[in-house]
Parts: sequence; structure tokens; C-alpha cells
Amino acid sequence: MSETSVSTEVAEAVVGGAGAPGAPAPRARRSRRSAEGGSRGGLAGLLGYLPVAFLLVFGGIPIVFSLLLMFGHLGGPNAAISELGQGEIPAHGIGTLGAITQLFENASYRQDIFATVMVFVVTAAVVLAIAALLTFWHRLRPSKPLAVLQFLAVIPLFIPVVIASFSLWTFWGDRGFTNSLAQLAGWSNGLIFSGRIQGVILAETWVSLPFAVLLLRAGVASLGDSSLDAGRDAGARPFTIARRIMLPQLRRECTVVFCFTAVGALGSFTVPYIVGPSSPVMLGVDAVNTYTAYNQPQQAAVIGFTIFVLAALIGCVYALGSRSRRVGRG
Amino acid sequence: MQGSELVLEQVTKSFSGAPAVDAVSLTVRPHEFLTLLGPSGSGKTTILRMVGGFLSPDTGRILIDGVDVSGVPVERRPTAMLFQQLSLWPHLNVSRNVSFGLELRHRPKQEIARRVHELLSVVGLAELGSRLPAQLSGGQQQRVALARALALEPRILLLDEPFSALDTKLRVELRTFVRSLQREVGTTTLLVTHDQEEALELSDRIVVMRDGHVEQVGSPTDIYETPATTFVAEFLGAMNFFTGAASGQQVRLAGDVAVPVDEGVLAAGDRLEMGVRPEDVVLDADAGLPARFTVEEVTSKGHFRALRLRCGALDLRAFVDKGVVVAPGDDVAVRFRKVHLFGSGGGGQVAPEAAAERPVAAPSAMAVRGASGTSGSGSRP
Amino acid sequence: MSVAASVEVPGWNAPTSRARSVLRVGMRVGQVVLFLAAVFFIVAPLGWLIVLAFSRGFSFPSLVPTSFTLSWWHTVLASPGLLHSVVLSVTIAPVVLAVSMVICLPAAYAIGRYNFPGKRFVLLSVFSINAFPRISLYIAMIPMLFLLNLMGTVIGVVVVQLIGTILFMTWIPATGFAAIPEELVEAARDAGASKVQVFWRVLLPLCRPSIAVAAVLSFLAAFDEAQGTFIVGAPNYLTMPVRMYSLVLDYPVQFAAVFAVVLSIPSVVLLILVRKHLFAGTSAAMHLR
Repeated sequence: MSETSVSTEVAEAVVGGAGAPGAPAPRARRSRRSAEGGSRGGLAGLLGYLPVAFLLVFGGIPIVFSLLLMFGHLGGPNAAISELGQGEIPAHGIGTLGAITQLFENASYRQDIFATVMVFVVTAAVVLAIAALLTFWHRLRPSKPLAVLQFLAVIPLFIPVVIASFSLWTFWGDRGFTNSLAQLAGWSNGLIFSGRIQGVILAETWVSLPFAVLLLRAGVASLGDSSLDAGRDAGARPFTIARRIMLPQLRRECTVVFCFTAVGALGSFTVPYIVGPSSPVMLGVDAVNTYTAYNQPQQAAVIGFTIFVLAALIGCVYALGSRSRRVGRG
Repeated sequence: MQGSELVLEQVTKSFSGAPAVDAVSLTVRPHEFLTLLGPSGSGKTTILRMVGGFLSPDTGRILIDGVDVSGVPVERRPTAMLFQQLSLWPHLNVSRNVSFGLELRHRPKQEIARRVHELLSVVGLAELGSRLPAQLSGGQQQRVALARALALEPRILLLDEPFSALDTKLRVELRTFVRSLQREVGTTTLLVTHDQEEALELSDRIVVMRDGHVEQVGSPTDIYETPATTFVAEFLGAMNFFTGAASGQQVRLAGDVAVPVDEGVLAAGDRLEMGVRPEDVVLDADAGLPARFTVEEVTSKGHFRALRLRCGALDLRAFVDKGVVVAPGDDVAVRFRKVHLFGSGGGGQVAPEAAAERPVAAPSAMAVRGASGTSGSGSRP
Repeated sequence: MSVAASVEVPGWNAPTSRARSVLRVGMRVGQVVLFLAAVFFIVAPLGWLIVLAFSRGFSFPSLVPTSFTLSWWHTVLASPGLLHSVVLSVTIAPVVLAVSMVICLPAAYAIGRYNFPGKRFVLLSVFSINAFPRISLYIAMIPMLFLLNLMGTVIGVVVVQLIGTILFMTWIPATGFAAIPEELVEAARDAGASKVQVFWRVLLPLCRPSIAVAAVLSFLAAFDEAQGTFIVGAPNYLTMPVRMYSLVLDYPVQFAAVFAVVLSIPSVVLLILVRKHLFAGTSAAMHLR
């Protein structure tokens, strides 16, 4: 749960627009409030900026420090950490790319990047596919099994990620339930996911499913009955309705699910640390190891920024996905 | 002209045990415009959705041109539905909304384009093909939805309160349009509505529904002039009701008011309900009922006036010409142009063949005058 | 009129009932297969965990334990290091929650009830910090925490756990405050309530459910946070979830299983308590249009 994240646009849609649980806030009401807000704007603004101040001190500014560290500026704000660190490459002039090239020349680091990308792309695709299958199917042909399935899919929300990772690790491990089952069934290759990249994908899927199902469930519920009925009336089979009527209208929700699942998997540490292999490791594990085990904060910063860059790429996918939808809606 | 016959045979549908439609049998003739009229919960929409295939009947059969379609899914039925809510697909432009069904049928591109243009012309929106639904007004959206429904070349067109989401002016405009279009195209049409005005204006025949069963079937005139039950009488138009007892050739109401009726209709002592439409109340200074009514309230309704009259325990609403001069406090004599008689429970009519068309009114001396203005099929000279 | 005349009346197919029933059976089978697969995928690992917590051992590849025992529970509950973790977890998480409420609730009120300059920017910041991959954010925090001398301190742990609560504690109550109809406030003012009274007697009570949901989610986010706490607090402050990392590697699997079951109890209980509000809240909150 702590590894999921939600978008700005979602926030604006809710707080700025349609209101929250229950009644939608009519426009007139908001404008009246904004008129009143003028006199209290100062105090309200002050209160409103408290979390921003916190995030600035412990989020925004640290990112700048970390950026400086990455480019070899070991003094100033980074003096405390660089004194303790090892293997640092100091800047001459505006900065050095030494730490970056050092890492990227390392074949195993490139493998780590590749493994990370594969994990978050596959996880996001699988999660989106499962969630869409469950929710779309249930919207078109409601049935008891599907209702129960949607309920089951939300269960992981209730389980701490550490516990989830551990339980999946033992379940799919070499002495776990699945492998025992495979051996008993006479399948000597066994059925082991733990300690493998596939296991990381499986576990990331497990922890990401609730968010995806909840979001798409809200999405399909927002589609009008008559819009779907009109599709059937026009002669469309359920699959066609899902593809040509539901999917285009829920493109943004699907984009959100895909991107947030991807970012969640990309920024995770617990799941790959417990379930994953020791090589290649995902970048999250790599970063933590580099800092805690190898005591190389500068290199850890580089890995951290590699993750940021990948997240920015996912952000581009998000922008594309939500943009084309807006064109579609005029 | 395409228009099929639709037959419902003993169709029953229950939702969680409660019957929504109870053994309804119905025949819709080819090319007919038939309206299911009733309050919410009367089962009219359930019938429409069963015909469309969105629901399947628990028991009974639905036949289109003699073929049982009970097991045929929505997407393969020769029906098309126009929905209550605006149901255009927001991500497709107007043309694509209309062409959707044709694309699914793999028609040649040129034919689709031609047909879409044709249909949009018919609904008067040929210029707006590239607009998105969100850029159209509610009335325009329903026109597009109509074009979309017609694109499916339905044999039966189903209209599910399609005008209710529109404001009054658009509603009147669109239903006039729908009526003339239906006359032209000739598609058998089934309309569901709770708006009596809509039903009276559009329909060839009206089916009045109540609690899952058919209360009365007939032409708009029939139903208005000859309501089979007090429910129908109240649902279509307004009606005053009085409880009374038959006594010879009179019906005695409370306060010793007696309304004469023709002989032979009643058995003495029958308890019954007498109904009088407000527009059938005539103020007549010379002759009227033996009792006199006091005017309690006068409301102008534009082209007519609504009066509230009282005589002892009797409360009477009357619609009179705006030229009639009355003021609260006046004493007036009235006669009834026409009365309707129902059994005391309000259920069946006392004398169906008499059909309450009987111009009953006034003291016997005035019986001839009372005959004026009746027009029902069952009226007698 | 060309509508009807221009096209041929399409023949419509009478039902081929056999094909349809085959399809229907296929759908049914598909659902059942999906259902069983999902039960296996989602629920079975948790069941396995519980079985592990009560088993003496397994002789691979047997699917049933050699025998059942409570001895792991005694071992876990008696080990002193673990007690320390429990104490740490149940003291730090409430502190984080309290600090989070102090920082975020006034902001939530301001966002929900007033327009002020930069309101969009505030929302953007709160959300974008959550759109960052969490682990890289923690890594990036390290130089700053060193600078402030917070590495390896309990304050540092509080700070790192706070990050994950800001979004819940700001956004959910903000939507709650925003959903309260202005008419209720006006009615209260009409009845003679001062602005302060309106806040305490109208707005706050009406917003209580969303604050409760935010509090539960924030508490759990702090309580379950492992990766940041591990980076900042280790080796001095090993909360329960952080302890899991080493348990997985160094202890018998049954021992870790017992610990895992114990650790997941607060989550499960709290989330079930607010489940109804949670789902209503999420679906409203995730309502994108």
C-alpha cells in the first residue's frame, strides 16, 4: 500500500471539481466560496502551504543536494555524507560524470536496468489486463463469481507489503507449496518463482492488483447503462463493446492504472529484496545495497536518478495516454 | 415499409419475487405506434426491455412476425431502442455513432457513408456529422440517437421515455418530429411514457398499465372518453369522483344531490363511483342539478379557468371558458355534460356497454340538453 | 422518404440455440477457471503462511506439515529483540500520525473550504511527491538527513515515515471538507453560530469519517513502512517490518511466519473497521470525471 502513488490530475478532479464521497459540489457553490475566500486567502494559504514546506525540506531540496552529489559536489551540504562515503569521484569545475559513467560501464548495472524495465512493464501490463478483464466482464455480465473475484482482488490492500513479499516468497519458493505440488505431480523441473525475476513480477502484480481493480471498478461504474445497452442494441457482442465502447471511454483510467503500477514497481524495494534474485537485482535494491552495504552514497544517488529518469519516461506515457483521450472528447 | 407484428403472450417477469409484469398479453400491429402508459413501477419499462432483449421473461413468449424471440440476445434482435438518458457514445463523433451498427455488419464503406448522411439529413443534422456528442444540445443528441437507432433498420423501434430528459419546448418539437417520421418510415413503434399528453398525441393505441398488468387498451379517444376504471380515468386527464347509490333513474350523492341517468343502466341500491371530468361541468344559471354550488376559488389557467365548487360535502372541480364571469362566493347551478359510472371499488365499470358515455346530467327536464358535447364511441342519442 | 426504401430489409437470424448454449457453457467454465486461479493466486499464499506459523516442519515435498505446534509462537513472543521492535513500532507510528495531522489537517481544511493563491500548486506538490518512485526519494533524502544530523535517529525515522502519510492526510480530509454543502454552514451562521463554532460544531463533525479513514491509512502507512525506515533507522531502530528483512534471511521460516501473522493483525483489523468508508472514499476519490 505504501508503494502506490496517485496522480495530480486525480486530485484536481476531486478536490477542485466534482467533490468527494457522495454529493457532487455544484459550481455555484464553489464560486460563492471563492468570493468569500478572498478575505481569508492569507491565512488559508499559510495553512495550505504547511505540507508543501515539509515536502520542500525533506523532498525537494534533498533532490537538489542529491543531484549535486551525483555530479561530484562533495562539499557544502553534502560534506557530512561524503566524509563517511567511499569510492567518491569529486567534481572539477561544474561537475563530473565520473560516477555515472562508472556505473553505466558496468555490465551488471545495465542488466539491472534492463531487468527493472522488464519487471515494471510486464507487471503494469499484466495488472491492467487482469483488472480490466475482471471489471469489464462484471460490468457487462454481472455474476456472482466475478463479484467475489473483485472482492478477492482487493485483499492484498489489507496486507503489509513486507508480509505479502514474505508469504509469496515461501509459497512460490523451492520448498514452498507450489514446488511441492509440482514434485508430487511428478514434474521434476519444479515450479519455483522465488529468487527469480518472474517471481518479482508475480509479487508486484499481487501487491498492485487492489489499486487497479478499485480504480477500474469506479471507472466502469461511471459508464452509463444506456451507453452499453445501445452498443448491444447496435449488434455488438460483449467483447466488441469492451473494446470499442468501454476501453476508449476509460483510456485515461487504464493509463492511470498502467503508469501507477509501473511507477510503484519501479520504486519498490521490499518486494524485489525479499522475493527477487541476487542478480540481476532491481534498481531499488541496487540503490539501497550501494548505500548500506557498499557505503557509496554518490553511486547510490546515480542509481536513484536512473530511477527518476525511468519514472519520467512512464510520465510521458501517462501524458500521452491522457492527452489522446482529451482529443477524443473534444 | 418495414414494420413487424409484435405479440406478447402471457409474459411474466419478477424481480426478487415481486412481479413487475404479470401475465401480460398484447398485440402490436405492423406499422402501429403503440404507447405503454403508466406510473413508475407499472411494469411498462420492463416490457420494453424484454422486447428489446435486455431482460428475458420468466414465463410467456414474445413473438416478432410469429417467431419466438425469447431466447434471442439483444444484439441479434430486429429491434432498436432509443434510451431515456442521453446515450450517445461520448468518444465517437455523430457520424461514427450512427455508423457503429453498420460497421459491425461489415457494410461497404461507401454504403455506410451514404446511409449515415441520409439518416442525419432525415433528423436534420447533416451538417453536424463531425461534432462530438458533448458539443450538441440535448435535443440534437436525441435526434442523433434516433438516427443511430434507425440505422439498424429495426423492424420494431423501442422508445424508452426518450423525451423526458429534454425541456418542454424541445420535448414537444421532438415528439412531433418523431411522430411524423414514424408515419413516414412505418416502423412498428413501442413507446414507454408516464406523460399522458405525450401518449395522447403520439399513439395509434395506448396501453394503460398498472402494477404489472394491463388496465385498458384502446385508441387515445377511447381511453380518454371511455376509461375502463377510475385509475385510467384519473391517470388520463382530471376527473371528479363521487360516491353514490343508484336509485331508480338517479344516482344519489352525498348531500341529497341526485344526478339522473338513463333507465336500464342501474339496479336500484347499487353502490357506485361517479366520475365527472372538470371540462364536462357546465355552469348553467337556468337549469342544473337541484343543488346549488358555491364558488370557492377561481384560478386562471390561460385559455380556460379552473374553479373549485362546493355543495355541502361535495367538492367539484370545473374547467370553464375564460369568458365565463364568476367570482368566489357566487352561487351557481351546474349540469354535467357527461358522467362516468364505476363500481364502488373503482374497479370495473358498472355497465360496460353503457360505457358511462351516457350524457347524464341535470334534472330530467334538462336531459336533452345534457346530451350535448359527447363524442365517445359508445354514446347514445 | 428514403429511410426505409433505400435499404434492403435485412434478414435477421433466428437463434441457433446450440451455438449459444455452447458459448454460455464456455463463459461459465471460463469464470470458474478464473475464479479458482484467483483464489490460488491471491488467497493461497496467505493460507500457507498461517499453516506455516502453526507447523513444526515439513518433509518436502509434503503439502501437510509433519505436525502442528504452538512452539514458534512461544519463541517469537519470548525473544527480547522482537519485543523492542514491537515497542518501537507502536510508539513511532502514533507519533508520525500525530505530526502528520498537525501538518496536514489545517492544509486540508484550507484546500477544502477556501481558494487561496497556489492551491493547485499545493495539490500538485502533494501528489507529485507520491508520483516519485518511493525508493529513489529515500535515497535522495540521505544527504539532507546527514546534514541535519537525523540519520540513525528516531526523528529521522519519523520524518521518513511522514512522507508516506502526507497524501492521505491532506487529500482525503480535503475532499471531505469540500463535500460539505455551503448551505449547512450558512444555516449554522443563520442560527447565530460564530465562524469558530461553525468549524467545531458543523464542519469538523461532518468531516470526521474522512479524517478517520485518512488516520487509519496514515497510521498503517507509517506502521508498515519498511524500506525508508531501514535506510534511515538501521541498525538502531528496527521496527517490526524492518525486522522482517532479517527474519526472512536468518531465521526458520516458521518463526518468520508467526512474526508475519502478528504483524499483519493491526492492518487487517483496522482496514476491516474502516472498509466501508474506505471503498466509498476510494471510488469517489478515484472518480476521474
